[in-house]
Amino acid sequence: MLRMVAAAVAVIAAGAALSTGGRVRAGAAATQGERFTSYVAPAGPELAPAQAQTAAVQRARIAGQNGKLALTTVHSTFAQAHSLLMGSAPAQAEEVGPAERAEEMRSPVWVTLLTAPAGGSFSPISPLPRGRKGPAGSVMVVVADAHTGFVKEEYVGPDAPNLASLGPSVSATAPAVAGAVVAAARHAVASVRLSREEGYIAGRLSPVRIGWPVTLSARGHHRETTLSLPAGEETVAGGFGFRAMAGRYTISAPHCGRHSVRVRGRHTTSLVLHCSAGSGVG
Amino acid sequence: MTRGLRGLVPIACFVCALIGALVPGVAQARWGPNAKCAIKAEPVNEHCYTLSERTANDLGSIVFADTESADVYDWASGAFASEEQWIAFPQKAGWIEMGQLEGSGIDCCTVHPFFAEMTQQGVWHERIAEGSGLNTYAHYLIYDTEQNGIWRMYWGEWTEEERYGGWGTVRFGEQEAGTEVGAETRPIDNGRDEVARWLNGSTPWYPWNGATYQTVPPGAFCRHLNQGLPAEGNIEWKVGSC
Repeated sequence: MLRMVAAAVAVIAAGAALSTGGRVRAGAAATQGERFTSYVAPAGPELAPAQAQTAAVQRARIAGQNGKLALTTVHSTFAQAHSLLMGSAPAQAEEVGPAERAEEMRSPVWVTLLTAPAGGSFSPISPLPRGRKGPAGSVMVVVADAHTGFVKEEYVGPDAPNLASLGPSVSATAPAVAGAVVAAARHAVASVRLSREEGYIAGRLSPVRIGWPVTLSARGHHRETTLSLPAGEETVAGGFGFRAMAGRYTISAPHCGRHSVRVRGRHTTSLVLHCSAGSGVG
Repeated sequence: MTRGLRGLVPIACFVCALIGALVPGVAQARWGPNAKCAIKAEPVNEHCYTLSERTANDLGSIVFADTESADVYDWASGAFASEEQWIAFPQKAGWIEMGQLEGSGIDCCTVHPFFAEMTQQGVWHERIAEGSGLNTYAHYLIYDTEQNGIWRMYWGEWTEEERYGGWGTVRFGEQEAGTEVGAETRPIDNGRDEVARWLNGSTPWYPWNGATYQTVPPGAFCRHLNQGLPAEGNIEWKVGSC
């Protein structure tokens, strides 16, 4: 407790130091009930060990290890798992502190130990000081929230912590994957995320036409043709859609005329094409 | 392959390259000046930084970090942006760092407090808060209150989250604060920070002295003194040249 008070005093003093520019920083210390993050201990059913292992393997792949992995998974409290990874006995775990920390430390986690193939290592993507080389080691431990699967802690080193001290374990292996597969998956995600200028055109034909060809053009050039859809869980009858980069386009359909439409990045542009009644696709 | 088809190969390659260059939405494999910024940090650190730093002989480091906007597009591959502080010890391998990050396999844009240590023995551990952080200046504090070689990590006003030991009774000799990006795709990372140092238990927190400023590589970020509080060491930044 005294340490907390000391820290509070120190932070207030720091606030005073940082107020030299004319702004007052860091007011009164927080109370035990105040929270720094949005964390609230999850409730409900927990993940199965296999799901925790899937999350751990994903972190191993991010860490550049695509080989066959040996997995050992143990259920624990976060405090005990953290204590073990910090080199202490689980019995020395501390679940104290303000409400937010105490809740998180008492929360259940899955702890998964991953062992690289002989000669292999894990190189997690992580912050580090300028000019320093990143971490690498033959052993990786991933601690995931038992409810949400959120990876709360990672450990990489030359030696495996003694997970048996936390409780009974579940073992498995994960087969090797081709590096190209992992790279392709990353590329696909990155490509989608990159498209900040991509928008969406959502339209429908009136009166309703199903299987009607609708064409997207840009500056007189044909870009794409899609067929209008029947009603479904996510579609309206006669609906159609296009993904398109921001810009001006022309939408056309037989007997429905041509319509100019402007697409904005990350926005959906809606329109209705009014067609001649009784007409058919020529 | 016929002679005619062989002639088409370089044309096809050129067309593919042209499409790749012109069509938005195709992932870049690196970014920054001369494409020097990337995700890997081992065996060579290709992350990019803009920061203030100083040679220190102190027992406490604090950063108030404010992530104004961040979007890490290739977050699913582990890419991240961080706003943080680092300390390191004279003649010792390893470091301690603390602050907040976005990306890192979680999602594109949510701010999560974190801290990490690389020990002298080559063991690395990182903890990331499951909850999201503040959308304003957030306080991160590292110090050895008892001068016993145990570095206490606080976030928020006074929540002690961690103790890192094993460094011996030593003051840190390097102090840095700013932003770091490890990503293949140029992210959005706009932010600012305020910094201070602590000598020992009988002194208040002091502003930095002897600060120098670095952007690695030059032009990867636009950096200025923090216009809200332009004291030594306080910076504000955005990705890209000024």
